Amino acid sequence: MTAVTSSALAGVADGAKRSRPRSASRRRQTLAWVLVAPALVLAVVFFVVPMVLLVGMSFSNWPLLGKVSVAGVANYAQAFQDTAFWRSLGFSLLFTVVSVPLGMAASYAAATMVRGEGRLVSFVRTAFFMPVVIGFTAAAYMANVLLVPGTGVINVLLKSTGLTNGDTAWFTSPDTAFWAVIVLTVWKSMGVAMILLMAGMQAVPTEVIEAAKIDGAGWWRREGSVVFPLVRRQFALCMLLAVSGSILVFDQFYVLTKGGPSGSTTTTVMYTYQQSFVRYDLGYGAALSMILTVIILVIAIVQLRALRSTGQEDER
Amino acid sequence: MSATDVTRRTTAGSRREASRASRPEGPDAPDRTDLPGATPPRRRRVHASGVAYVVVGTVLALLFIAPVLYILFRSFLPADADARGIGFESIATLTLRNYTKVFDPSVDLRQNIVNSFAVAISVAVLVAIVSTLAAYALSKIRFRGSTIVFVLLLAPLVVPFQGLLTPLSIVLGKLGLLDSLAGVVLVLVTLQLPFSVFVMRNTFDGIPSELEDAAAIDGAGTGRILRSVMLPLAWPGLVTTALFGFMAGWNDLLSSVTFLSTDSKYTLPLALSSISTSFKIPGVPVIDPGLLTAVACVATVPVVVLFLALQRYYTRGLIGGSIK
Amino acid sequence: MKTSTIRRSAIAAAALTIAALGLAGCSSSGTADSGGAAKGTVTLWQRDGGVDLTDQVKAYEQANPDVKVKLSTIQADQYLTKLANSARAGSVPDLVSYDIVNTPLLATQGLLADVTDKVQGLSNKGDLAPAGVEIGTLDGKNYALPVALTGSQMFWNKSLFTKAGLDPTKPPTSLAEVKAAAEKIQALGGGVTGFSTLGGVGQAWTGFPSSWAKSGSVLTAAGKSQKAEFTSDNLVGMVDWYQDMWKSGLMQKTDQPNQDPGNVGQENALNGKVGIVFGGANTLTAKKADFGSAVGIPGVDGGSGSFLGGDEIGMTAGAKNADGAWSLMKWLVSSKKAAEIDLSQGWIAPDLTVAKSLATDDWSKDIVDTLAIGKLPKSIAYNAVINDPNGPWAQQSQKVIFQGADAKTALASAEKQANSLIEQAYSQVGQ
Repeated sequence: MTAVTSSALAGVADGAKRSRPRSASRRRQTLAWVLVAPALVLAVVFFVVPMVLLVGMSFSNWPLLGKVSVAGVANYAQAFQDTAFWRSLGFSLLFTVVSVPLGMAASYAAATMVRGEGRLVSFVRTAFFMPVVIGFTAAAYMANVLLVPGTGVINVLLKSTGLTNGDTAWFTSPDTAFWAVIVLTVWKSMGVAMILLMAGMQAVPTEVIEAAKIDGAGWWRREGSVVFPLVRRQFALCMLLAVSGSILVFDQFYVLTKGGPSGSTTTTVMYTYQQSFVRYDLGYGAALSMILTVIILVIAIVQLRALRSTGQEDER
Repeated sequence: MSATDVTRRTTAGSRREASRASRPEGPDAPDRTDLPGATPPRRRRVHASGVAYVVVGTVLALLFIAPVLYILFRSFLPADADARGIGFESIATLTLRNYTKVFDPSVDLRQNIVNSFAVAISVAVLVAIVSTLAAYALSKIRFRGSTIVFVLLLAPLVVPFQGLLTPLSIVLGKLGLLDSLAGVVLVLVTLQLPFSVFVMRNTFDGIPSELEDAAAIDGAGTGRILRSVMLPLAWPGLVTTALFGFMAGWNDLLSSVTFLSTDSKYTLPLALSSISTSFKIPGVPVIDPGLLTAVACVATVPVVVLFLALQRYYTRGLIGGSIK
Repeated sequence: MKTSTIRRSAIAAAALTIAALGLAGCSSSGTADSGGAAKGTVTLWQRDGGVDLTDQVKAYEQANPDVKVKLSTIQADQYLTKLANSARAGSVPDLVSYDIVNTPLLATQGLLADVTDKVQGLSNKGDLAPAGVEIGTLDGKNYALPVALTGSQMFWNKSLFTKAGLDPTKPPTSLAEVKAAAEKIQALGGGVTGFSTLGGVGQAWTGFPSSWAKSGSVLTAAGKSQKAEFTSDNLVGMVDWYQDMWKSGLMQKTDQPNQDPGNVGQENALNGKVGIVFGGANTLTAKKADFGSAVGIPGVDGGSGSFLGGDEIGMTAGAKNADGAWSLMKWLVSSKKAAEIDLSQGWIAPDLTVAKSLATDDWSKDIVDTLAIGKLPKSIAYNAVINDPNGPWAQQSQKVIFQGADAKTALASAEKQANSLIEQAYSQVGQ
């Protein structure tokens, strides 16, 4: 790369004497491609190629060890009739519909709390962000230790406040398992959205806030009518990531419930995983992955479109 | 010579400006300029509305870190602490036994820890370099196909990674990278690209091109521009990218589980999850919670320490140019 | 070849033969040496949760200093997938030790090497647990051998029995009697539970034996016309009994999502809080003095059955060091040293004669006798049909046991699903 760069640099330096249009010279174009090359190579080798293979697998009959054969659209046809798959998708959507609003609300509220300065604010900000850093596996095992029926500290606390009898086996019933995982997820993921929203809030010019104050607007009014509209873009972006992340949720349920009891907490990725790695029907698992990808892509595009149109509205 | 002087002056000047803007200044700080994405936003002083904020804030903050603190505490308690009930009395039973066991050759997590470090650092460094180069091009150079490249680099966000496990195994197998830490690193870097490229592009977007142009007019080539102009200003974004890359490498489970099959190459989360053989109370086939929490802490502490140390960077790094 | 090289090879061969004969003398099973001399590196995969062969391997290396064994522990639920991926990538381990129920799948799909000749040459082949050898057989050819076995048994806490007025030397002989005893023990109070099962998704490991104690099986013969037989009276009866136990509160509460008593159950059992336990001997070995053991598990109407579990070992078709692999495999299934180490860990060596000779107390003797009656369903779709926590057997049986569904209808639906899964599995491998 150095050789190319230096010749590119030489060329650029020449052009630099004149006003340098950013969309200019071919040398600059080449430079751009050189700079994105490493990332592109990685993306192609470790993403595009596997994706192509995945598509191929989805149209094949792919047993664990034996010969692979073409299956046409049989896997897809099977998918559309597979009630368990659609049920798992429903569960993932349910999870998304619950965890995203909760998470966004929590992140927003936290952002309002930590957008100032001061030692205390710094401490609170750090505390809120810390769970992000822990891996989901470690967090899930921590959850396990904390929620052991009888002796787990959370159960002990609940018992002492009289809310439960302290013996709840959290992961043996779908409802308690669901809420336990929701709490874990919100706790763990709130930090990133919080920081992004906080950034947006900090960029709101004080004159606007002051003006609203002078007009007699209380905190809620200011927040809703002044601040929120100005951070809408960050909010929408955070939500985009949160939604696709929630639909693709896997780790927590994999470690804590393994999709049980009786498959009631099986998320759609988990179901796909089981087709490939428990039933060893890899072609079918591939088809399911493809269907899932398309669904998320559509949702993402819809959200991006919505974002762009609101962005065009308040282009300052 | 004059070129470099000007460059240095320009850089220093903008750096001073930037840092001045971000230092807490209260109501006297300069208003946000109209330059698109010019300076990092100044902090608005929120008068912590007294007691209410202090109480609520502290309580919530403590609640948030309580689970981790508890796990930390539990890791210094013996195996049967749960049965005896955990409270302030337990402080008398504090012990290092769990940690000595963790580092004891029979459980031997030392190799796993080394492996995790190797993977985490490699991912951090690699992803920082690769994403910075690509993001610079995407942000500062308008070239044909840049949108496609950007979309391609971000595409992994919509794909369930689990679905790609088998195809990736095939690819790695063909490259001879199956059952190798290098293979795991490369896969993780690729998966970190969406986030990293996004952050770095935002960061570069937040650096006005005028700085670049000024330096270029003075004859500086792209390499020097990158080094002397961009890098200092993009530093927060860079550190953020590296930090999140480290986290991804350190916390990864699925890639290690799928692609590694030699004990000596296993990473820490893998060891943590194969608790059925490692973390038994000797002689009794039941999992030792003291040992388990100790391992969980060992798996968590390095990232937490790192993130605490680099706090000021990632805050600014994530903000980057998202004010745009 | 130069003369000096020939001479050197001859001397080496002689030395090796002498060494081999000497080694054969060490192992009391006196197996005839067949095949080439073992040397080099042998790669062995074992599953996490199965027998841990670390100590056995160390002992083997001491006895065979020319061979170095590289042992890797693979997470149980990734095992087959990783193996398949490695096979497709062209680099498989030499030996694989894995969950015995997966044997048909591996054998059918050509992963394992045909070792019929070698097995036929084994002097102790008649002493190996029959069901363990049978499951490794396909079309009359041997592909795998059992390496460490366990069978599900009934255990009871002797002191709790005495306290409840029951005779600790006269255990229940049918499920109905188990319930009666559990009731008496639970009545003792003090946080004591009458009954618990230790593991086995959907109570396959500990539940199936009660249904096939007298006769019958859960799946018909392996092959493309295999069918599930879930609606037999015995199986329905078994599931109904568990439902009753759960409803009556006599069964240990669980902390695992698939209703396995899991950790909590084990801990309670070991702490003397459970009256009767269905499980594997290796989970209770540490406290075996407190427990009485039976041969197998009582049937629905009497008789005993047991589910043969443990690990099977096979040589892969692409093994790089076939001689070394066979040498290790043979040692693991034949040598007395291996059997001793197995026993100390709570597993039983596959050679039942050797195992019996090492069984010094009733505890060990009962395990060996249990293995003799141990059975297991043989199917390439075993994982999908029975093991999978979201498969038809686990889901429907749990619905009956824990949610009070009607056994006949639930199991009928499970049977239908299972049959379609089995059909799919066989059609996938082109049968």
